[in-house]
Amino acid sequence: MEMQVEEIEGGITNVVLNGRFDLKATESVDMPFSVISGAKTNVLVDLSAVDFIASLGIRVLLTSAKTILRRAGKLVIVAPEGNVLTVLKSAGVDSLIPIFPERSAALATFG
Amino acid sequence: MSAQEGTDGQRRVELRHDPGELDRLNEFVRDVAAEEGLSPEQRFALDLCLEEAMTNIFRHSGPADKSAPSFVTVLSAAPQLTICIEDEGPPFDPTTAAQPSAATSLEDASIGGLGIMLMRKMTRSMSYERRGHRNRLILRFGPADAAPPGAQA
Repeated sequence: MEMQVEEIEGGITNVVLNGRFDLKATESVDMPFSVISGAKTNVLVDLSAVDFIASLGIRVLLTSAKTILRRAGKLVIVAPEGNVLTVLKSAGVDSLIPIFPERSAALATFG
Repeated sequence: MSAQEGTDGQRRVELRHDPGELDRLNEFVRDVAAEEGLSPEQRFALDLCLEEAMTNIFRHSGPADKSAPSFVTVLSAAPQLTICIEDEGPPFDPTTAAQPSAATSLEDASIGGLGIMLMRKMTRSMSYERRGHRNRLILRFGPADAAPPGAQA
């Protein structure tokens, strides 16, 4: 899985993931996510190019969201595709982390 | 070819306990999905359940078990696709493992046990037996016209 991180307008950290968010991916993105969640307060995670997610991937997102929340910040998820969205809902992630189908609505929550 | 024929002509893959082996598991899923004509949703459910099952095996097997491979075998074809996962780790029954309670907020969210919960939701049924020194986990998937229960969430 590829991970791109950039700072965008409004003090928002834009994280774009691409590929399978599985056990192997978790091994490579766990540390970058820890660094981001220890330093940033407005984090947008774009899942539109992620075609698979397993429980370890979900755990990375929940752990980061929890850490950021403790620092009075917010992590939101944008544009998960059909099967990925189904898994996130099955795991109850949608009641813990805001999930937006559209990027514009996600950006607006940081206003 | 990543997948092999088992003794009864069943499709089967043998995996060592190394995360690198998951690439071969992914190839197995791709081959089974093509042969059985699985829908994208069924393929995703199979992919997810096998990934979670192997993650659990990697986690629960002790150093002595790591040299013994695990086997993933197609026991019966679609529409009642049935898969068996065998490993030689210590006894571990995911069907009776504690279910995580639903978290109401991020502050008190427990983030363990998710994998088994997802397997329960994405299969029609799961059963477990300890046969000799092996764990045998049987996963049954629904027919093509039935969405996995998780899809209705």
